[in-house]
Amino acid sequence: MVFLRVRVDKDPFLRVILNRTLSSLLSLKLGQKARVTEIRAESHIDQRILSLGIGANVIIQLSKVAPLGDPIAIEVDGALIMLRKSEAQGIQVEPI
Amino acid sequence: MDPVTPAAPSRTLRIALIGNPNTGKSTLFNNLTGLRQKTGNYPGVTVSRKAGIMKLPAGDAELIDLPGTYSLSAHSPDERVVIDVLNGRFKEIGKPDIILFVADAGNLRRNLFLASQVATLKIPMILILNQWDSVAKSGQQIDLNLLKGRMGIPVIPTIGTKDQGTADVKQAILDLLDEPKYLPEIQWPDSMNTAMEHLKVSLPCVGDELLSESETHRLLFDTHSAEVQRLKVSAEEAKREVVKAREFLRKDGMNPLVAEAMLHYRHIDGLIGGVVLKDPDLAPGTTESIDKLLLHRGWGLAAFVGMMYVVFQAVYSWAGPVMDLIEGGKVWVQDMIGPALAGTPMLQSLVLDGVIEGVGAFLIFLPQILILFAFISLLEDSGYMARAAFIMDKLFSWCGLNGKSFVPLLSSYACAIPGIMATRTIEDPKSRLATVFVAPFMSCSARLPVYILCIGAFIEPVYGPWWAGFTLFMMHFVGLAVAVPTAWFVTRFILKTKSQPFVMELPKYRAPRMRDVGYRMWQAGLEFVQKAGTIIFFITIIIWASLYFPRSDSQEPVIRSEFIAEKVADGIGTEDAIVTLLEDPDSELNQEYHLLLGSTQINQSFMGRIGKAVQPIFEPAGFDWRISVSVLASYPAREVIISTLGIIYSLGGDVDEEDGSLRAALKNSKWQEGERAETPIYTVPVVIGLMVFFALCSQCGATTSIIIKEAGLRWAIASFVYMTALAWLGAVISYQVGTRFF
Ligand SMILES: Nc1nc2c(ncn2[C@@H]2O[C@H](COP(=O)(O)OP(=O)(O)OP(=O)(O)O)[C@@H](O)[C@H]2O)c(=O)[nH]1
Ligand SMILES: [Mg+2]
Repeated sequence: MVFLRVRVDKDPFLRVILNRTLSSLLSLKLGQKARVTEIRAESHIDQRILSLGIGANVIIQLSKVAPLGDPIAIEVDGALIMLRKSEAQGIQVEPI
Repeated sequence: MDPVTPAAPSRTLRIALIGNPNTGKSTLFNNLTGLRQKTGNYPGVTVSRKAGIMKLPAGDAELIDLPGTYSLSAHSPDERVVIDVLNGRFKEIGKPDIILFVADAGNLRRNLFLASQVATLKIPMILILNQWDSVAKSGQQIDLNLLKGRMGIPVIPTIGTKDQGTADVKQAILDLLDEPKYLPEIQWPDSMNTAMEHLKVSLPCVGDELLSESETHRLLFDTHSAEVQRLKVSAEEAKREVVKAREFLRKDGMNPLVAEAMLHYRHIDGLIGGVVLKDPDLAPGTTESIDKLLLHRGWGLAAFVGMMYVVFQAVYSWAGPVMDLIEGGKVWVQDMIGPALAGTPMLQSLVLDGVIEGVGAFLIFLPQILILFAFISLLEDSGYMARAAFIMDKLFSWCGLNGKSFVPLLSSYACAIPGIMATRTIEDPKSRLATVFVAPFMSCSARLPVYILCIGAFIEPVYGPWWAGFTLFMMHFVGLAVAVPTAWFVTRFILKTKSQPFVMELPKYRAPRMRDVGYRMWQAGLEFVQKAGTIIFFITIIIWASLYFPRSDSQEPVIRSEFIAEKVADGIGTEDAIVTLLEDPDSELNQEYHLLLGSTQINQSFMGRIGKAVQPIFEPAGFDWRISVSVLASYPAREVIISTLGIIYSLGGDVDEEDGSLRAALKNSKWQEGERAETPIYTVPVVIGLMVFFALCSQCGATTSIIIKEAGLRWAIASFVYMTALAWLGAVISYQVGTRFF
């Protein structure tokens, strides 16, 4: 099992492919808007993100990065929601 | 709390306020009941349920204010309260009869997610669109009539802060009593119905009830549902059945972990389609412009530090004139009462040196408390508090805490008790415990008097107001500086936390309501004054007595003749001349004699002996017996040290004649014997050590008992021992290092 796992974020070739199809919320520039394509639900925290209205097809904007680099704040439906980068990673978006 | 009104036939009507955090539930609760629950502009002000009586024409109803939550899949202790109330799991309060669902009208879609979940409980509901004023401000329009038609339940716009719509809410409750109404039911896909049926059949509850619809949802959708405990079967078996049930959803092409949100939002989008109109070209709002500066990558941090600095400077420097006024008042009262009691010296001493001195020395700090609470309340109500959490999260996550620890920790700067209660908003039990453990290190307002006294007497006169403000700022920083590594250690080696998830909404900025700020100040002030009248008053009397007794009047002639003999030997005058001088109350000799008399008697008192016995423990910190005994006396409550010192110096006759303040008495205080004789006791290193001791020590009975309640006895004991040891060490280090430099 362990050997078959490829860290996609580390593998340069896979990363190119990945970036073209899916990209994480973290790849957005400050102020950029995007449409959510998928939430990688793994733990209860993703459920929380969903209950906050961040779901597929919702438009979000990366609107603030904290002075110390983490967490970030995203705007959804006029509300400003902060989350840590580690949680934001699971939110896949398509820039618009 | 349990009124049996004739108008209510069987039992009191029970109504619960449910909604997302920070939508205005507590504000509406206050409007509907006339009570004063705490409100504030950040998510998570209310952390437990509170009940109040609401008057209706049909009789009284019980209204329950609850913490805010975004969904029924509970994560934190405060959210669990909501679910338990909704399911009637508290013995004292059964299921609510009516739900007042409080939505933020400016964010309808998100708010209705919870409403749609709650609707599965099949309790009649009223939809309140609070913050109706913010709809237009955010460039939106809501077609109320269309929404009313779609919802099928009463929909009422309100503005909580202006008490608008309160009567409409009451009317809607009455209407609902005549004819219960429910939110339109969500149409589940067939696979979902199959999955639910599977769970209901295979997992009976304790007592053979069937799972309710909402309980089934929780089992099906949540990763660690607490509902498992209600089942008759084991956790493993429940898990197996849940996996089987989720298979039905998967086969239908749904990811069970996101299916719930997807289905509810689809339902909501159907209900509110066309209801909300948004102005796409709206100029950036005020919140956005303010955040441009306050959350700026570079300026944000500077603004934060600057703001904290201003708070402490203000607390230090604004109160001066009012303090002088209170001080003057104290001396005036003493002058008025003193002569009247001259006939009974013991009573005179009790009233003047004990009660007025002790309570007065404490009351002087009222202005500071008021200023501190004004600032805290402004920070909370403006919406900055949540931003502070945003800025600080990185630092907190580094030591295993979480940005949500920030608000409890900041409130602990006012008082650790509400601070520790506020940790209930933290989902992760481990980081919650760690936050509880470090919260008492935040410098609460009870420490303020100690700092102000020490700084005012020893730092400001020598180094000027700038350093005085700086020292105060630093004293508030010491606790934090200790708390961070402590939290790191606790989460790293004792609780071993993984990094915690952290998701929080940043509320819109709002002009704080002066009424709320004033009320907070009034409450804090009242509590402070009440403390003066109760605990401080009693401790004052005990301390006075233990400093006054044992007192043998037979000793006085001995002291007197020794004093006279000594003065004759010094060649000051003949015995007769000295006796005449002693009779004159204004003579210097008379004053010197009374000082000697006072200190001799205090040295022999119970407290004096105790102080001398414990002083060696504090010797390495440079404390004399008076400081040592005051430190001991203030274990039940920190502020007691002020009263204790006040009484010690007043009884000892050390209080300066022109300037009757404790401050001056401390300055004049000198070592009486030993190699340091005649040198001042209070040097800068001693004073810093004393402040550090108070900054770190666990001297508050109330905090210890709230830790027992929230975290258990073991944590409380650990906290007490750790803080006390650290305080001693801090004082010793300050003194030992300080004496090398000063
Ligand atoms: N503009 C506006 N502000 C409101 C209104 N109602 C309440 N507020 C403000 O919104 C903030 C939150 O109010 P609370 O009553 O504490 O909210 P809550 O729902 O009890 O919040 P939690 O207890 O944290 O879940 C406060 O600052 C209120 O003054 C309203 O109708 N309009
Ligand atoms: Mg509340």
